[in-house]
Amino acid sequence: MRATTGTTVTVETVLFIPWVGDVSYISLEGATPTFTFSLINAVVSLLFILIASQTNRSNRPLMIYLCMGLFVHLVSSLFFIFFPERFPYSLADYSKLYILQQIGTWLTIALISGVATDLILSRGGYKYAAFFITVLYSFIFGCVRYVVYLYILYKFSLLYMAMLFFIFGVLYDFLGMIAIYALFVRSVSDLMSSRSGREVWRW
Amino acid sequence: MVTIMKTYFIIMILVMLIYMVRHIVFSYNRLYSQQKISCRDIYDSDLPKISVLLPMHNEGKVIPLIFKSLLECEYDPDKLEIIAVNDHSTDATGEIIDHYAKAYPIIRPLHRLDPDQQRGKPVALNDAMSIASGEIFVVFDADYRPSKNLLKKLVSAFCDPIVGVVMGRVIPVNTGTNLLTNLLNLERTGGYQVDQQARYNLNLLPQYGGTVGAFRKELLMKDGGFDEHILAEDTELTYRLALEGWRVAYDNSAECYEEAPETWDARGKQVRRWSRGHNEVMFRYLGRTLRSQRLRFIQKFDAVLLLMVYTVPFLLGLAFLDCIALFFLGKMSIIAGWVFVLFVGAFNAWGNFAPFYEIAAGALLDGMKNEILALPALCFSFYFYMWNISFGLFDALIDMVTNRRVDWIKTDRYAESDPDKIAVSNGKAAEK
Amino acid sequence: MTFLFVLFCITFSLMLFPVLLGYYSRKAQRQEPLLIKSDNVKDPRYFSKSFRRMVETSLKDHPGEETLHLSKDERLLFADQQTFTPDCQVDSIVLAMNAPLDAPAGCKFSKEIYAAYDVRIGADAQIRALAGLNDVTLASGVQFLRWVDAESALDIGPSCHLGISASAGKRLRISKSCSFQRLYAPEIVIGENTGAAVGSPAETMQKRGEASSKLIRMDRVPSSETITGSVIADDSLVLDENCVIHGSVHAGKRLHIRRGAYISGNVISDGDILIEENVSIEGDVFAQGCILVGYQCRIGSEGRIKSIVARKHVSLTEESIIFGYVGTEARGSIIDKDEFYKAMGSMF
Repeated sequence: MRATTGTTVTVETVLFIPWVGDVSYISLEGATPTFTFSLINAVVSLLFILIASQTNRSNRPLMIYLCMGLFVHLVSSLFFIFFPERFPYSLADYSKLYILQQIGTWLTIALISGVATDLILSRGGYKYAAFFITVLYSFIFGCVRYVVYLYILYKFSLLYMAMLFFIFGVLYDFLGMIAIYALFVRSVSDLMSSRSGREVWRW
Repeated sequence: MVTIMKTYFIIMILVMLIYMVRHIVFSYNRLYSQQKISCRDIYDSDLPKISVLLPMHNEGKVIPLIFKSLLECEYDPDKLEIIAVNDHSTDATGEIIDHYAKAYPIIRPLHRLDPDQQRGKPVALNDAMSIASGEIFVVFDADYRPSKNLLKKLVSAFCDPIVGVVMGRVIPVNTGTNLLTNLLNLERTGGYQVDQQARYNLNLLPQYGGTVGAFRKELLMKDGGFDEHILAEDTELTYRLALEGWRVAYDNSAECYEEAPETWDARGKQVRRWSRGHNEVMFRYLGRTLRSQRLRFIQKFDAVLLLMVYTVPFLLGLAFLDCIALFFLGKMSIIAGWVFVLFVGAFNAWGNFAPFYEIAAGALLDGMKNEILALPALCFSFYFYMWNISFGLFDALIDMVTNRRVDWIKTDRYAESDPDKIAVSNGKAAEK
Repeated sequence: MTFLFVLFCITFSLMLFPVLLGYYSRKAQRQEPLLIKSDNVKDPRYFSKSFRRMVETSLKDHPGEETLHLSKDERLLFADQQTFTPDCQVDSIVLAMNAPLDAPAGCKFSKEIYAAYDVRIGADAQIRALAGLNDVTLASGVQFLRWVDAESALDIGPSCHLGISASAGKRLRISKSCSFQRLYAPEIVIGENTGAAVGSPAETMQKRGEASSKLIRMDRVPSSETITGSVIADDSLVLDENCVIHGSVHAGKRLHIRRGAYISGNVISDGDILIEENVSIEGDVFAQGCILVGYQCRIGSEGRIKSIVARKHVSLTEESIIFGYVGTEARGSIIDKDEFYKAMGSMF
């Protein structure tokens, strides 16, 4: 497969778990950042960290989260400033790591979602619907995000790899799971307080 | 070095897994297992004499409300005294206390005004206890509004001779003010409705929270009262008594409104203080807990997990930095897929999100509806807590190393609680 | 490019979805704190007092009407103008204001009864609830759906089913084979009469004061031993015959109190409690499991209110006396000596 820019895109495989077998991933070359680009990113990250930490007192958690992301990006920028040749990952490596992580995340989410929904409601359609929607959400999100992130790293720079990996990575899979879980619990709460659902909670 | 780093995050995975299992067990117990009944159903004409201790510093806005509530409490007035401690207040707290003391003989004022005296809740309580005549002490913060039968409910737990401390349930009254108060309401629900009750069911260690609670006078007085050099005197009391073989009882029906912090800054200071105090207790009691002959293995195990609760977020933060370092060292690809996934999944799901089981279970039992939809926002507040808890841990370490004296800091108060507004809005809530 | 743009939008939307959910939760409706009934007061005779207050207020505000204005309007039947026949069915609230009420056998009252004078209920009657302002006497087999209360004395015949609560202002006597969930009276007599001894309150109060601070850990108190202090066991605990405990008792599991024992304080167990015959307990009895009280036992003392509270089943044997309250989350029953020994055998 060739992209329009002439970049070579191939599909490789890697071992996931010995008794499960191999998984496939997209392999292509990413854009290495220049010194100037890395420097600009470092300065901007630092500036934003300083500004964010002094302002936005009304939403501290979001500010701290963003500062963490900017910190990771700052570290990445500094790494590319001082040790650009030592950056250990190519875009193909990132793609492989992403797929390994994502498949594991899908399995983990399926397990956690199953346990969590079963805890709240031991029988009934709501729990299966919540489980199915959660797994589907995670699958679709994982796939589209894979393409989008690969594009960002390919088109712009490998500099963003660390931030995409740590800050905009698996956390959002679990955020989505929690959101669907919250909707599920709310539905169960509605059901239990409805006329048909009102029953003695048997301890 | 790399081996140490990898070993560290595998250990953190295991720690988070343990906490996750603990929270699932508690949630399951609360939802499906047999619940322990508390002594609140006991009718007993021989109630002990109690002293209600109210430590106050600049509480002029809210004092009349708690006095009104306590004076309306259904408890034999001959067996009740209220000791209101004016702890170096600079507002009208002292005058208001004197005004009520003049009108109601069961209210006794205690003014601590000497500038050379140490300030703070533990010291104020110790001074109050030295003049109190009750067998049981009940402590409330000034912004609480006990209901009519709350005193009886708390005191009835002491019919059990092995109970040294009892804790009631705290419910935020300003839950609808903003996202923060909504999240705090969710956390409280998980913490009290599920966590505390499950620990009580399983004969583990419910925690005395310093307010809406009571304890036996003789147990404290024999040790000289509260430790005045510790911020978390409530946690210290919990462990002190548990290691002596006393039981901490929890009564889920002994509910009382509290005012939750309404700004992130106030919440951050509060969490940092709690972390500092709790970690001070951890330094002091971790070894003793592990060596205790009184506690069964499972009680000891849970007690240690409870002690570590304000240390683990810092360790998780370190694990996060560890992971970043491993990333830039290029060690991610060396880790087999499933182990790597274990960490990332565990980091985001098991450790970060473990309380969600409890919060969801608690929200269900409380009949919450739209409030529960704010659950994803708790994920972001985890970073906020990690930040402030870490600073609290550093404070505690510095206190321990330098023998630094702790200065008491009070949580900010907000709008005056209006009892009529609360009653009307609750009436509307009840009708729905 | 369009494809990538669409993918980007999907990714962004899915990432924003959890955040927007939180925003929706804030906007959807004003969040109220969990309701705490701040004026709630526990009263074992609450049902009756509440009903009586509603009736008296309604009668006062609307005198002479044949409708009672409660939470909804209820039809009234004045019992003074009525003669009830055996096996009759009454679907109105019954008011007996001027004379004693006699309900013959087999009557069914699907609503509440308010009686200003004595009440006699015939055998096998079925009643929703009854508030008597004087004495109430129930023949055998009477069934209550909700509660029964007498301001003075409540006398309950055999095999009655007492609904949620049976209470009296002065004295309650309950016969064999009755079932209940809660009982309350300053004096509750089990069976026809009681052979239970009554202790000396003054002496016990003094001893309790001495004993309160001392905890003694043991799993068996020997026969005829006197202990000053509270006895604690992490597991099961046995108090042998005729022992005397000047304090309270706590067992982590099962608690077995043998005949003739005396306890001046409370008796608490995380498991079951078996109390054999002729045991005197001055304080409360509380179990996370079942409680079985033998014959000729005394719980509490005259002039004071004490309680027996169990998570599971409570069985009270004839010829015992309880001063105060008996409550269970399951069911309670009144048994005779033979049933007591059978239950003791199966329990322990």
